[in-house]
Amino acid sequence: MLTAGQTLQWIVISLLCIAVIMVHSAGMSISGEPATIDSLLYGRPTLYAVAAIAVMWVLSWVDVRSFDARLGMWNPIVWMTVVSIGLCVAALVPGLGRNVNGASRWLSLGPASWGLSFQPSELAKWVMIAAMAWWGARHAGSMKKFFSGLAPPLMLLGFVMGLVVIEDLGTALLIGVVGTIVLIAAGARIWQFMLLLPGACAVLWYMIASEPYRVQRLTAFLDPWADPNGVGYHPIQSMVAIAGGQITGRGLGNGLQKFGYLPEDTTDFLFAIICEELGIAGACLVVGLYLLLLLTGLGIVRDCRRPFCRLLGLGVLATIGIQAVMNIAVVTVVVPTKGIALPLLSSGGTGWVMCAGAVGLLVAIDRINRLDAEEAADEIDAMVARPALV
Amino acid sequence: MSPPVDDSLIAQQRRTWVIARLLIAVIVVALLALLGRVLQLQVQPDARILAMVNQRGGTEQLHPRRGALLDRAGRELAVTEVGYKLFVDPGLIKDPADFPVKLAHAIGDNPARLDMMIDQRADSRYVVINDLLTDQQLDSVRKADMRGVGLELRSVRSYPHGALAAQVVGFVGSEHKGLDGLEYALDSVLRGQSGKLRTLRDARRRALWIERADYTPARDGLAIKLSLDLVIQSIAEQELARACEKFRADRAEAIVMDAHNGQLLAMANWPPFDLNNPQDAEEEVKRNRCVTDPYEPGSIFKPFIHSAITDAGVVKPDEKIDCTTTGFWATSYGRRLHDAHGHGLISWDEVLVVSSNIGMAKVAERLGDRKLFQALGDFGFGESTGVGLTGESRGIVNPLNKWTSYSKSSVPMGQEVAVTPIQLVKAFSAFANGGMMVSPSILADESDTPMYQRAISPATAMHTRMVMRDVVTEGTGRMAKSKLYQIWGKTGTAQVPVNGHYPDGLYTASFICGAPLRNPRVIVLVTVHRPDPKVGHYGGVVSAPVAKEIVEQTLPYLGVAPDMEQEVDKSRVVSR
Repeated sequence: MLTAGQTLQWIVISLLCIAVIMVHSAGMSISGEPATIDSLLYGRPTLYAVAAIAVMWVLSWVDVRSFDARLGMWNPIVWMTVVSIGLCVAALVPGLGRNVNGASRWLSLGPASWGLSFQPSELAKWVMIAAMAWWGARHAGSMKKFFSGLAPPLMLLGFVMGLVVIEDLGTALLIGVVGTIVLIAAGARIWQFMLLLPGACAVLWYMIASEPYRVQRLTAFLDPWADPNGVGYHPIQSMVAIAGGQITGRGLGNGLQKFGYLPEDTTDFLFAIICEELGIAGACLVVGLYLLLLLTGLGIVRDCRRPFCRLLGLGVLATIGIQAVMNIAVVTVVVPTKGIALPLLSSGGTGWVMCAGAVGLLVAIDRINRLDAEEAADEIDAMVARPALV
Repeated sequence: MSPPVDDSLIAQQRRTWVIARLLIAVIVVALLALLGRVLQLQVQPDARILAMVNQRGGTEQLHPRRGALLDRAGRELAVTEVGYKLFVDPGLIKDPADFPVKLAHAIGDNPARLDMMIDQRADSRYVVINDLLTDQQLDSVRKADMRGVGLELRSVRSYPHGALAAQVVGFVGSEHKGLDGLEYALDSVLRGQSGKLRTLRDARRRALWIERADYTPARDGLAIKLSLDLVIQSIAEQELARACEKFRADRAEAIVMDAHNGQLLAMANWPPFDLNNPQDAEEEVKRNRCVTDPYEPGSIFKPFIHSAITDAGVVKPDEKIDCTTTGFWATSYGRRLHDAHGHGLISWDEVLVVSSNIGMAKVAERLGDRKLFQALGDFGFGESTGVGLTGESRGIVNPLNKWTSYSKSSVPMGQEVAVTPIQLVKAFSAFANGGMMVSPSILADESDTPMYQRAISPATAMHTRMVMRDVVTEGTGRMAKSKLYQIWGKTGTAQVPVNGHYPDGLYTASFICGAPLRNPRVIVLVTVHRPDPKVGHYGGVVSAPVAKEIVEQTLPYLGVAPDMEQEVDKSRVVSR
């Protein structure tokens, strides 16, 4: 029987395998390299997937308990926070940040010829979860209080969101929502958040209204057919992909929409290609793997006795779950177009590595759970053995 | 070491667990709902989405090749060739001065003409220079490989024989749709069925692949073999043209029909027009007037009435009829009839030989209107012949209740009725087939299954044929007398009615005949409209020689032995 941690690892490996194959399929074009077994096995996505699995394996051996035991600069969470904020700032600096699709969300990694880049907001997303969990665990008693309990982490959250939101509204919102969930789970009062809600809405409104493309996405969602070749193009092409596959799908590799019709087909809209080529079976497989991942993770959170680990696990699950829901909702045009990746599937080295690493932490938590359980059992054994002395 | 136990931590643990369960429950429900949404998009997409799914490829119509029209020997009258059209995109020409010279050199054209064509439509991106390149031109254009020159595959309907049988064959319009003649009448068979090919394409219209279900091959049209024989057709057309030029006629028609199975061997209309350029001809000329235009036949109508009267038994063939010595006779109802000459007392058979209007009218009166009208029907006048050619007219036969007192004398001499040449030929075949008319047919396949209809008794048919032999030997048709074949026939010189009266100088000169006498093989009708009376206007003068020429050339071609010297030469014929 697999342990919860092993199950999680196999789910991640399965998702990454699907990702490598589908990203490869979606990346086909007439003028590009022909798709062969070699190009699949030795391609860059495969490399990223192997790296992601390696990172997951390494992190699964990290002693998560030590995170909240250390203090000051020796605590990895503190310096990780500092580093991720620094990187987010760096990405905004012209010359350092790499501009893709009009957004400078990337930092180049190594020489430009490697073509490697790194998305600091991805790092910040996960570090914020750890930071919120750490604060929540250490201030379990004072979370009800606004100024001593809620305000400090909220200010950090707000600051990081402010950095990320400049280029990436979707990730900023995700950081905010997951951070809020972790803080509430840690004991923060919901009504205190409710008081902040009007302000948050005003900021959100301003952010949308200040960028014309965000307004267009919103109107495109409301009626894509008003401008089918303009702002409505993306949602329509996504629906055409899903509808074109019908129940059975066109067959792996046989999709049409990837040939220049559907933009972002390897990244945010990979799910549409999966539906087109693999039909409902592909959709069920992907969604089923997510459900299994979430429910297994929930079991780990349930068994966890350590406040920090518990909150961290919850944050990781919330991030993966919400991202999956948001992405599929965008692809199926249930919500307006939003740049949110499908966790572990949408092409992107940073995303895969970070997400697999986060699942690795869940695996580590599961290992600690079992250690704790053994210890508790030993203690009871010991108590049973020497009852007379008490 | 067990974790520190603290009330607030226990409360937090409980709270975390509640939030976690709630959160995961919401996410699970959302994911399942989204799966439902995927299913909805897959099963019942919006019609507009579905339309876009289906337009992912470029659908091309695959044009079938139009079937050929062949004569009875398989010679091509109309064929579809596949060739290349040459066009120029002036926008791509680099050196406008040099280009026309180079291109003209490649295709052997006039550089000045090309320069003008390109210059006049310099804004266009598609200037057709040559509709159909020859193989040689195509080769040199390909070798020249000039920028701005394009080749386009196209199929061309071409008529190798140009004007031959033009009105019968007809022509096609754009997209090879049959517009007239057999091209129109047989369009459904010739056209074939177009196919479809959908090539899936990427967003930049580059071809990806073809799905099996997206290919329906075109089915080419069927080739059709006609009853026409191009040799006989060209004989008829040449002779007709010669007569028309000699007599300065307006127009003329000639039909050559196989007397036994009704196969139309030739159907000629003059003036001709070139099928390869039908747009240059006037509408009038393009009609196949052998079937479309009825006319008052005049005296060539007499054999039908003569035989019907003989058949009815109201007169004996050798009964003497007083045709007056003056050539004038007034009927009981006060109509004045006249003949070209006063014939005096002649037999009933002689009435036909000399073509006496008075004699015909006198005896027809015995038959009565009703029987006369019935005779017209028996010979198929006023009805379609069943040949199936485009625009066939039924002619004009007044219903009995519209007959006036004049009718019974008009009809016997071929007035008050209008008939088409094809009707005349069909009716005339009764004399060749023992009283049975054969329906004319234009399709070679139909030669096995001729349709017969009785018009008169076999004896009368034979008798009338013999009388008509006398027309040629000693009557009005003497100019059709052949040294080779015993031609039998009847002349006709009808005045052309214009607005109810007959102006001077407008005639239709006709001659209808069969040959040989014993076992007739062909029936020939020649009708020349409005010959110049200064040169000649009698059917016996204008049309009879034409018919004779056609018979004399056609029968040897068909392998029919001459029958004029049959009796004499029998001993000299080597038996096979």
